[in-house]
Amino acid sequence: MVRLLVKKQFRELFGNLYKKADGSRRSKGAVILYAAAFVFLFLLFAGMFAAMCASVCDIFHEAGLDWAYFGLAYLVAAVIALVGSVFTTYSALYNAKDNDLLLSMPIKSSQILFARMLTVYLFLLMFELVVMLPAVVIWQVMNGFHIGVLLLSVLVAFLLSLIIFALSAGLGYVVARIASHIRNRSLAVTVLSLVLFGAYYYFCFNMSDIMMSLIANAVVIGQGMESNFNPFYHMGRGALGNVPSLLIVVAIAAVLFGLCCFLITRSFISIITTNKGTVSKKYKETAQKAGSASGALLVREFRHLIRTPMYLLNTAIASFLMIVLAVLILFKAQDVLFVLLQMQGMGTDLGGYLPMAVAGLMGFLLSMNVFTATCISIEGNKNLWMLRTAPVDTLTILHVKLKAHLLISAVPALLCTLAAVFALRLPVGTAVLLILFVTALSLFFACFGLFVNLRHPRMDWTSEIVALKQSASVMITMFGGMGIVIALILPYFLFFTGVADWIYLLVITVLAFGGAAALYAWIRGSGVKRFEAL
Amino acid sequence: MLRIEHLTKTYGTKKAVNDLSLHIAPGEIYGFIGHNGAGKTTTIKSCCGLINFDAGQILIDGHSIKDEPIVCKRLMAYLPDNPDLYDYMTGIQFLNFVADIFGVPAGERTARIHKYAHELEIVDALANPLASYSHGMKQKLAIISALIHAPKLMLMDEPFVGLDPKSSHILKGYMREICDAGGAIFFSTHVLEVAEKLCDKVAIIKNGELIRSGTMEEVKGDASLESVFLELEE
Repeated sequence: MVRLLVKKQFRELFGNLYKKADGSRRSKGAVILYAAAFVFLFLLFAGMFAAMCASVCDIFHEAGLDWAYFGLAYLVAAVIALVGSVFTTYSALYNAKDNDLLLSMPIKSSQILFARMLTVYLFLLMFELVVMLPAVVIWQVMNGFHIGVLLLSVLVAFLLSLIIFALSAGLGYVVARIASHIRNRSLAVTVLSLVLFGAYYYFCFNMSDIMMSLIANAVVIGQGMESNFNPFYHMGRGALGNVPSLLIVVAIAAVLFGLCCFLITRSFISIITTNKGTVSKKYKETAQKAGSASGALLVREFRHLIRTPMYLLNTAIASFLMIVLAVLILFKAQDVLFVLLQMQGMGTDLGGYLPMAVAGLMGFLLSMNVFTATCISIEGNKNLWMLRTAPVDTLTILHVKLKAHLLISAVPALLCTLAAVFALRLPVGTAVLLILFVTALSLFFACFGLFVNLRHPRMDWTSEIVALKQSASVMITMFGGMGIVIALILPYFLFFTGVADWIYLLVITVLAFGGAAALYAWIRGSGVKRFEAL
Repeated sequence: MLRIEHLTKTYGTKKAVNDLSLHIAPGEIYGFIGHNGAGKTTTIKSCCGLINFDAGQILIDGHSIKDEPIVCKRLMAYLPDNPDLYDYMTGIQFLNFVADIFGVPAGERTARIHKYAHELEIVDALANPLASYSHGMKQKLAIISALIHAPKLMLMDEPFVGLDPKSSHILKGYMREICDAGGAIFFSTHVLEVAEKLCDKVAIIKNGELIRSGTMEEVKGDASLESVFLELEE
């Protein structure tokens, strides 16, 4: 039975690999190509981390702080895996559309839960491996092959994955527990998730400061990690064979994972079957107002976003961050300036770097908003019929989706950029180009997400989280988007620091507008046909 | 009103619908019966523009669904067998959404919502989110949304499933009203008694091919529709 359930979960997870949007099977060649694209993406990011590991591995080794190297790698892996999975657990475990169907069958709830947990676990493991695989390999290559270190570092990585899973599932449990006792579940989940997300970002924000100081001074690393990241201190030592540290990590993993399994299995049925219902309101008849078709479609997109917490949190979280950042910039301009200085490691002489740093930061934030990358998949097979039978041409539907993305993403991005321009007193010409660049990049990402989603729609989901987090479209758009930002900004710092910032900004703005125009042309032609063929 | 000519739709190697031709005139209620997987839903979805078909053509009031989909969709309404509506909207939000999409003026939509919601006894629930609706309530709301723009042609897939007897009776009345006003109804059903009593014409489909069609008398003669259907299915 467990095998069957796991197979069902995997079929949902890897459905895109074997099936086209119309449900027909892909050819063998297409499956290989598709899988190769995934592997390439994985290797691309693993390669980036490998480069980072290679640049610091020697420094740590020469200082006799190999354990700190591993500790830092485990820490980065934990952060990335937790970001990747933290909002998956609630939807995947407690909010799957087929919970009722499966519970009505003669299947133990623990078996259903196991299959669900395995999917979440594999998902976070993938994120963890992006960091840990290069970290372990680089250490072995640069310091000679040590079978003991290899086995122990892998063992600690496995233990870490259990800890991350427990934390992620624990957060999902808290959200589910509270949501099941509240009538307005949708609002409760949104607020709770935002609070958790805020707390998480607060932690990450502080962590980045500590990491900066750790990297700047290797001697501080030992004390820093021991006092601030005790578990990671022991993980680093455990990977190098320190038995007490290893036992501490085993104990932490066993306790957290055991507690998580105990809590979830004990409460699974009660959580998913406890429903206080919704607040029932009696409709009072009033005269209705008429509106335009495109207006109705736009309002529909926002209603969907606001009423579906996972949708909002997974596709528009950067908008919240941008608004918070805009306020921070305005009220704490000097502190922000200091953080930027630290991030770029540029001393006190900013020169033309600051506009590019702002451009890079805005680019990363914009790439995190993946509304258009999910807006086709989120319709699902069950709801698509309403759009397809509506007397509205397909291009209008796609335009509305682009417009919604721009309202969600470009508006806060421009506010944030204006705040930065104002607070950092950038020259007028540079400021105008920065605003144009952010506008161009917003347009580009709106079109890029829609382009990718139309090419890789995921319509056959039973849990919305599949469309929101586990689809090829989201992966390609988010990671591809970050890659594009790096490709646009990094060359300036590597090769063009002698070029005036406004010239470089002008070039990348033209590139972003050009990219957006090319993608939009595709959407108007092939994109429309693809939507109509869904 | 609806002319289906030599419709063919293939899924992989399987012909779901093979060279099917039907003509539904204004004022007719046309029943479409057949076993599960016979091709009823494929045919209806092709008429709505939900499925791209391989061959043949479908004309709605003289307009091709392939060449003029928007014109065709303005004239018709589609009621699926399992109305999955937008759970994140309330009933009234959904009705206004559909009315906006079809460009129904404020006065007309207010009057129609009032009439249909009262008759189907769903007024009180209109302020609640669709996620809280039962299957039957969703079906009733889908019926109102289909009627809100006064369609000339209604395409319905198993419209009576999930409806209580009173609502089924009311729906039959609406179907007749549309036909009396010069419109037409094309619907699939497994309930042969309903088809026999309600339809002016009936078509029987088997394995994607039309095996009999015509007026009720032409199809069943003196026998019951059930006995004719079972005989043809063997």
